[in-house]
Order: sequence, then structure tokens, then C-alpha cells
Amino acid sequence: MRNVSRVSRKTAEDNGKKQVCFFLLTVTVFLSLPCFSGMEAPAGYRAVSVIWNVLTAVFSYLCFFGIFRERTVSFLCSALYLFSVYRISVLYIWGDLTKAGLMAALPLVLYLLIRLYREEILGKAGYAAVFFLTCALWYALESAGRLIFHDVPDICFQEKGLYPAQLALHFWTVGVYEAEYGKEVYKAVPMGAGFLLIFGLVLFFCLWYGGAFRGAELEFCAKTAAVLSMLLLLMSLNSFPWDYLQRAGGRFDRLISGLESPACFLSWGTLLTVFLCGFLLRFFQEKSRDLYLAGIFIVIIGIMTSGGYLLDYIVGSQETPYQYRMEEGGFEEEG
Amino acid sequence: MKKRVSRHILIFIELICLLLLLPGCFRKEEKVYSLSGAEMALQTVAAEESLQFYGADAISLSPGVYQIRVNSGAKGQESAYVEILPGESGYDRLRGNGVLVFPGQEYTDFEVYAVGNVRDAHLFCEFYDMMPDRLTSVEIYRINRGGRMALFVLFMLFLAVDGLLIFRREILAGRVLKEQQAVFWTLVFSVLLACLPYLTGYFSLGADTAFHWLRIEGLKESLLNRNTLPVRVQSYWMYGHGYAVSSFYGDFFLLIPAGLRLIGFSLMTSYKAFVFLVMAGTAAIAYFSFYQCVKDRYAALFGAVLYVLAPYRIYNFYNRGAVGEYLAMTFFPLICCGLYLLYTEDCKTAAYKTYKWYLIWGLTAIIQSHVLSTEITAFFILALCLVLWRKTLRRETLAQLLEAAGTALVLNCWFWLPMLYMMGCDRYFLQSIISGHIQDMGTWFSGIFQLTPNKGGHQTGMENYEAIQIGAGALLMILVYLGMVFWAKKKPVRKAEKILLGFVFLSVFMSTKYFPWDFIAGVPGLGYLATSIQFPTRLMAPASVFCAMFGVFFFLYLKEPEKDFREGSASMGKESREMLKKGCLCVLLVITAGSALYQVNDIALRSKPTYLYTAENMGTQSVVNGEYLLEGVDKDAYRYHGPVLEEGLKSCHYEKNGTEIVMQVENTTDKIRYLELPLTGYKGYGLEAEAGGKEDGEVPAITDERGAHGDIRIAVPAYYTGKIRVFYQGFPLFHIAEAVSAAGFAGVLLWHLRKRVVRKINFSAQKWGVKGRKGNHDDDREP
Repeated sequence: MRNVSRVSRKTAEDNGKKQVCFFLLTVTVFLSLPCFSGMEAPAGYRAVSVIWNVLTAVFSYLCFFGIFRERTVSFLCSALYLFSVYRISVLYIWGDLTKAGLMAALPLVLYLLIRLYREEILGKAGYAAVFFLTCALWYALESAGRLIFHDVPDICFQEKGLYPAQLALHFWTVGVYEAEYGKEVYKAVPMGAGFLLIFGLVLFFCLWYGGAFRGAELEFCAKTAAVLSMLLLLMSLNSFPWDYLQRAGGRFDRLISGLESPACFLSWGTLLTVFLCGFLLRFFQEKSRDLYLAGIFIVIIGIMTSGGYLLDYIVGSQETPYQYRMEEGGFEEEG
Repeated sequence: MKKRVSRHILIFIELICLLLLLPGCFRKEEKVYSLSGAEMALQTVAAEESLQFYGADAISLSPGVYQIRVNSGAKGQESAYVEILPGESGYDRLRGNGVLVFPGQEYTDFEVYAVGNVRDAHLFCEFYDMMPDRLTSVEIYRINRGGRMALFVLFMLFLAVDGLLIFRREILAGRVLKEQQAVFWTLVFSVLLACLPYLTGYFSLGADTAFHWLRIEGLKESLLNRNTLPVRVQSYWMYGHGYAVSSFYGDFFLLIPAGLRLIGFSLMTSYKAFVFLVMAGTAAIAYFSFYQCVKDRYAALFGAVLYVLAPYRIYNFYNRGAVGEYLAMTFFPLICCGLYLLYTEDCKTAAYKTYKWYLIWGLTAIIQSHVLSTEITAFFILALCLVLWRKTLRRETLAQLLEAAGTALVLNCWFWLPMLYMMGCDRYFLQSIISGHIQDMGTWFSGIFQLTPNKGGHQTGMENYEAIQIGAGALLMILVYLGMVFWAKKKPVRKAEKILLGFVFLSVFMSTKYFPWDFIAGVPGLGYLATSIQFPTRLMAPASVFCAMFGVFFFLYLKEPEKDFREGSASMGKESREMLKKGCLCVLLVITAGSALYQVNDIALRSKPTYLYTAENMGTQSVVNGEYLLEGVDKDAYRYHGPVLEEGLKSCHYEKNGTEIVMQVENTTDKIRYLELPLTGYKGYGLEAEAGGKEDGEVPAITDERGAHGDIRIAVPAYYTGKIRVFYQGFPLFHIAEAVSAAGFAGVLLWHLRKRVVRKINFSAQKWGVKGRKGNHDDDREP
């Protein structure tokens, strides 16, 4: 983890300084603490990245343990979330520490939603509505936050969406410096849900279709999450009609623009698909030992070959910025 | 009862939706924009001396398909590029490409697709060495293809939804086993995985894709022109001169994408849909064939997954765009199945006589897909016949094999006989290409053991090497099998396993550059056949199917209990051994799927995107090596042109429709004058002419000598005046062959119908306790 906590090219070249200054000096207490303690700016940045990683791991493990009440499944879910393509991309390629921080807190919200279900306060329809509304509210706040703190350019939001193939890519073999921020999958910058999570989602729908989950614990929660995650993944695509929604006019246009890119829906999309994978593992654990062991094997291999592989590429292809004094301004980069 | 009512309501709603869309399919075309060249000339901006631009005011387009019709009088070096640009209307709402208007091309049309309201589309023209007023007019029409596409898509969607609902009902009613569900979803998932690179809004060109796309477009145009059926010469190619690709390359399966083109889909979408169907077809055929062999669902599934995700098969789709070869690969499992059953089943049963149909249909499909793969298939069938010569020479088996070969030849007579005739009566580039050496085109030894199937860029060599390999999964499976057979020695080894493994090694060896291809090329008779396969790497195709079928037996081998196993006798308990076997299969499946995932992943990331919505944009000359062009013809010399008349000849009322030209011609001199028509001078063209010569009965005739770049040349008698019609008609032999094949198909159909009727009678007889006709109730393996 030591080497990957670097600033990406985009951050360095485009709005890197702005973001680093913004994060280091004004907003985040976490960020300022290492600086106050005498560490240089990039080191502070690294430290926060590490902290976010640790928090993500701890929160997600505790939350999934609270949800599934089983250590192995919780650990695997936590690892799946920690090494998810979208989270790694947000943290190391886009250098968006705010979003990475928010992603660390996401499992807590999911846990609360599951608790709400277990408490049986609401009926099924009410619960599903709360689930959907929580997610909608999250993105509304995310958009509002961006609109307050950033200048949101008038861009074609839909154009920045993903292709279905991108969602399911597993090995991000294109190095970050080779990657293109274009609209095609060709040399695309790593962004997607990852094959393993998509596989889990498809498997869930297949089993649901065959009526396999009847009577399973958290059945309704999982089904709600499956529908919602499917919707979120569709919303992250460039074929989702954002363009029409934006042209509908009014505040809605600004709200959509504030989200920056349809890929942002992958934050909840990733978490919910991870939850579904955990649900499947629990389901197999109870039904078939062979399938459960196969599931564990596939998840471990999947994490190693996807998240691990991506991290390795990032380490291999990131340029190393050195900045020792904030006042100097700009980065000195080692090619 | 309630469910039945809701089903009926659903079907009713679906029907209403389809009926609502139906009128849109017959809507008359509507002109939405028109502009003359003279109007364009007033607003043209000159960029350079030889280049001028024109950009029209905003045009508003509602959702639908639009056809842009360009009338031109460009000649000599003049050309123009016409395009409709989307403006700021919204993301990806207008999909289309521009088209080059060539000199000599009087008219061209092309489509653009508006998927939403486009308020500010712009007509944009570039003129190269051309005055804008030479472009007679540009007109935009809204055509009814949008309605047809919507109806088709909705129909397919309803079909899928209904199918899924029925399937779910069957599952919930307990009529579909869990095994069957697992098989279905695994195959669906494998197909989707293999199709991953095409889940984008664009396309990436393989080495031969442009050639095959032209075949599809040419077939569509030939069907529209209604010149000849079956199509022998596609008129679309070589600037409308025509190319005899259909005579040498089976077009049967391309009727699917050509049909989608006729409905109105873009070439890119039609091709993607075709690829998806081929993938699904491969999965279904492979599973069905393997299941017929071993009657074990999971073993058949394992083999089918190995085959669907085989690196070389995926490579054929995306790297090479080798439509013929991947189509042929779809039917290889049928051949394997037919041969397996003929050589392993009891030849005294009535069912035995039905196994040949796997071979017949497999061979028929392969012949219609790819001639070179047919050659390779024939080689391995012969090799198997030799290896199992005792069984081959059994009266029953030999009779079935000969019947299979004979029936396949009769059914495909309409294709192969004209092909051989054409090859015999003329010289083509193909014949000179075949004589080349091919050994250097084989893979290196390292290629066999290559584990990561990268997209690559080179067919041979080490650097940037393409996925010409059997794959990590298959390789590991063979190693595990060999390990178990030689060290564990716990189980008997089937003969099928030995033969399949032998064939895997043989085909892989033949795909390398160490196999003596150059030596074989020197053997009279054999050399021509052997080197005609062009690349030894094609042998990876049979290697893939042998690996997959071997996988089926490997699965059974693992599943079988060890013969001398006793509780407590081995170091490992029975349960542990079972776990090890399951683990082994799990690892193999993960490696196979992971390898395929890596490959499609790499292809998706490394393939440059191409957006092709307008078929006219790709030109007409992607003939690769020009294999089916007449020998000695310079393919770069082709241009659009009208009839080329010798001095003293006059023509009028010239009309060209595909491979047919009708015109009025007049020879004003007292000598024979020659006329050249823009049709490639393949043998088989006919001429009908009105009597109008100086002497009675004297009419124009096609000469043996061809015109410029192989054009058809017609001798017009002195003082001849009359109407002539030149058209492709083929030879009487072609029609005889077609009749033989038609009779063959009718015979096969009748035979199958008769069997069905007899089976029905038997069933009824059994139901009522009457003894039915003998010998047809046990052939459950009939294809």
C-alpha cells in the first residue's frame, strides 16, 4: 500500500494543485493533521489515503459482519469492497479524496438500512422506498456538495458514461499513463464494477429467477439491493438517457451536472453488488459446502487478479511527484 | 386460472403493441430536405485551390432512419464527400458516416439514424477538384426502415420475455431439473463473456472483417436486385463491376446479417447480432453434440464451455474477423459427435443408422461456411478412418460413412460443383496464391505453451504474439490427465481419450512451423491441397474442438470411481479424493473462464474503435488478396463508369441493375465495333439482343477477349440497332446441380417426415396396446 499512495497525472496536471491545496489546507482535518505534525504535503496526502483505506477496511468489515454475522463472508466482502475497481480508481487515479472518504462511510449506511429491515418497523414497500430514497438522497447531497465547492462546467453528462463492456472488465491492463480519458473502452482509464461483482449480480438474478432464495434470511433486502444495483449500473452507462433528463431543464440539469460523471453511481453500485456477493456466499454456505468453497476460491482469485492487478499497474505506471514545500507551487515529476 | 388470464392479457398487450407499430413499416418515404448543386455553389467556402466546403443551415430531424440521395455528375479526378453532422442536438443522437461520391458514379445513397430529436443537423460537403454545381442534387428522405426495426426489436423482445416467463413457469413447476438450469445459465454466461468486446457502441476491425462485411452488403444488394438465386456474382464489389465471391465462398449463413440489413439495421449492428447468434449457436451445438456422446450433462457442459471460451475461437472472432472459419468451428462438434457414435455404438441397433445425420448436417454446414475448414475436416475424418481401420471396414460402419459423404455431397452439389467448374474454366488470383510456401506461417514452439491470450498483433513470432493456442485451461487439463494416467494408474483409459489426445497433439504439431509443410507442398496432388489452407495456424481450430471433446472424457474420467479403491488403503480418504477432484474441476473452470476473460478484456482495451453506421462508407474494394478476381487484372484500375463505346457506336437508355444491364445500342459503321460494360467478365454471363443487324439474325455477342480491367466486351455487328440485355445466368451445369440438391433436400425432408409419422403411429399403437411398426422407438439420439 506504501507505493500506491500517489497523486495521479490528472491531479498533478489539471486540478491537482487545487485539490491538494483545497484538501490539505482548508477542509479536511485529517489532511491538515499530518501537515501540522511536520510532514510534507505529498506525505500528508499519502497518510490520508492510508487512513481512508484503513477506515474502509474496518468499517466495511464491521458492517458486513453486522449484516451477515459470519467472519469469513464478512472478511471477503470487506476485501471485495476495499479492492473494488471503482474505489481504487477514485482514490489513486482520480485522486478524489472526498469521494474515497465518503465511500469509506457508505457501508455504515448500508448497515443502518439492513438494521432497519431487521427491526421490522416498516412494511416491505416502505422499506424498499427508504432504501431507494437513501440512495437518491446520497447522490443529491453529493451533487449539491460539488455544486457548492466547485465550478461545474456545462458538459454533456451522458457522454462521460461507460459502455456495458467497461462495467465487466476485470484485468485493467492499460497503465494509467497509457490510459485515455476518451469515451471508448479502447485504452480506457480503469473504471467499472469489475467482472466478479457483475458475475455475482448475474448469478443472483439467475437464482432469483429460479426461485432459489425463498425463505432465505435477508431475502427481501437482497432483492431490493439487486434491483437497485442493477438500476445504478444502468445509470452509469452512456446509453442511459441522461441527455434527455438534462434537457428537461430546471434545477434537475444542475443537479445532474453536479454529479460530474455517470460513473459516480458505481459507488453505491459497487457496495450493493458486494453485499449481493456476500449474500450469495452465505446462501451457498447454508446450502452446499462445495459451492461455498468454490465461491471463496473464486472471490480470492478474483480479488487478486482484479484489484491486486490494478494496484500493481498503478504502481508501475504512475509518475512520482515530489513536492517538498507547498510554497514552491507545482510538482516536480520523475518520469 | 388467474395466471392463465394474466398470460393472455400479456400476449394481448404484446399483440396490440406490434399491431400499433405495423403501419410504420409501410409508411411512404417523405422528402425532408432538398438542395441543388447550384444552390450549394452560392455558399461554398474555398479552403484551398482544389478543396471547397459547403455547410448547410440547420435541418431538424425527428427519430427515424433517413436516406441521403446524392446525384452527381463528377468525372475525371472530381470527387465529393457528403456527410450529415449532428450539431449540438445531444449525445449520440445522430449516427451515420459520410460517403465519398466517386467520379463516374451518377448516383449514391446512404443512411443515417436519428435515435432522438435532432434539431440542428447539418449537411456538410467537401469538394475535391470539383465545382459544387457538378453535384446535381442532395435530397434527404425519411424512410420506413425505422418502423421495421422497431417492430423487429419489439418482436424479439417479446419473444425473449415470453420465453423467460415460460422457462420460469417450468422451473417453478419442477419440470426443469437443477442440472438443466445450471447448464442453461452457464452457457448463457459463457456466450456473454465471449461477446464482451462487442458490448460497446462501436466495433473493432479484424484482419478480414472488411471483406466479410462487403460479402454481407453484397449479398443484401444482390437480394434487393433479384438478379440470380443462388447468388453467384455479387454486383456490389469493385465499383459495381461485381465479384464472384459467392461462387467460391458459401453465403448461406450470411443470409442472417443480410436479412437484418434488409430490415434496416446498420451493418455494424447486423454483424454484432450475427456474432452473438454464432456464439449462442456454438454453445448450443457443442453442448448438444457432447451430450449426445456421453449422456452426462455436466461433462457435456464442461466440454462446451472449454470450446466456447477456446482462445483460438475468440481470436478468430475479434483479431481476424474470420467469419468463415468461426462459422465452420460452430459445426465441428457435430462431426465429432457423429463419428464418435458411429465408432462406439452397437452397429446392430436401428438407431445406428441415424448417427450419420450428425455428420451430414455438420459437413453441410461446414461446406457452406468455409471451404478450407472442409478440407481440414476431411483430413481428420480420413485420419480417424485410418486409425480405426478395423471398425471403418465393418460393413455397417462403412455403409454409414459412405452414405454420409454421399448425402452431404448431393445436398451441397449446388455449391461445390459450380465452384469447381468455375475454377476449371478460368484463371483466378486464388490459384497463384495457393502455390506459395506456408511453413513459415506456422507458430513457434513457445506458442503452444503460451498461457496468457493477449490480443497481440503478430500471427507468428514471439513479440506481441496473438492468441494462437489451445489455452491454459486445456493445457493444464492435459497435464493433469497425463499425470493421473501415468502415475496414479487407478482407472482404465478409454480409447476415445487416447485418440482425442493423439489428435490434439497432431493438430497442434501441424499448426507449428516444425511440421514439414514445405516438403508436403512438393508432393504432387497433395501439395496443392495442403498449401491451400494458407496458414498452418488454422489447425488450431480442430485442436480446439479435440481439446473440448477431450475435456468431456476428462470430466468422466475424474468422475469415475477408482477401480482398486478400498477404504483406508490409500493415504487419502475417499471424501478427500472427491474434494480433490471437484477442486481440480473448479480450478480448471476458473482458469478457462479467467483466460477467456483476460483475452476479451485485452481485446476490448486494445482494439481501436470503428464507428460504421453507413455501409457505403467502407467502399467496395476490400478483397484482401483479390483471390476471386480474374488473373492479370489490376484491382486498382477499377472505377465507376458507364458503357465504354468504340468509335461509331452510340448508346442510350442505359440501365444497370446489379449484374444485369439493359441498353439500346447502335453501330453506325459497316464494321464490327466493341462495347465494354462495367461488369467483371466472369464466364457465365449471357446476352439477349433484339435482331437489328444488317443481315438477318445478326446480333451482338460477348467476346472471349475481355476489356479493360477484365470488363465484359461485346461485339456489335455492323449497322446493328437494338436493345441488348446482359445478365449473369451461370451454366446449365449449375442449374442441374441446383436441381440435384433441391431433390436431395426434398428427399431428406420426406424421409424425416416419414420417420416422424411412423413414430407417431407407433406411439399411438403403444398407447392403445397395439403392436406398432418395429425398429424406430430406440433411436433417441436422432438429430
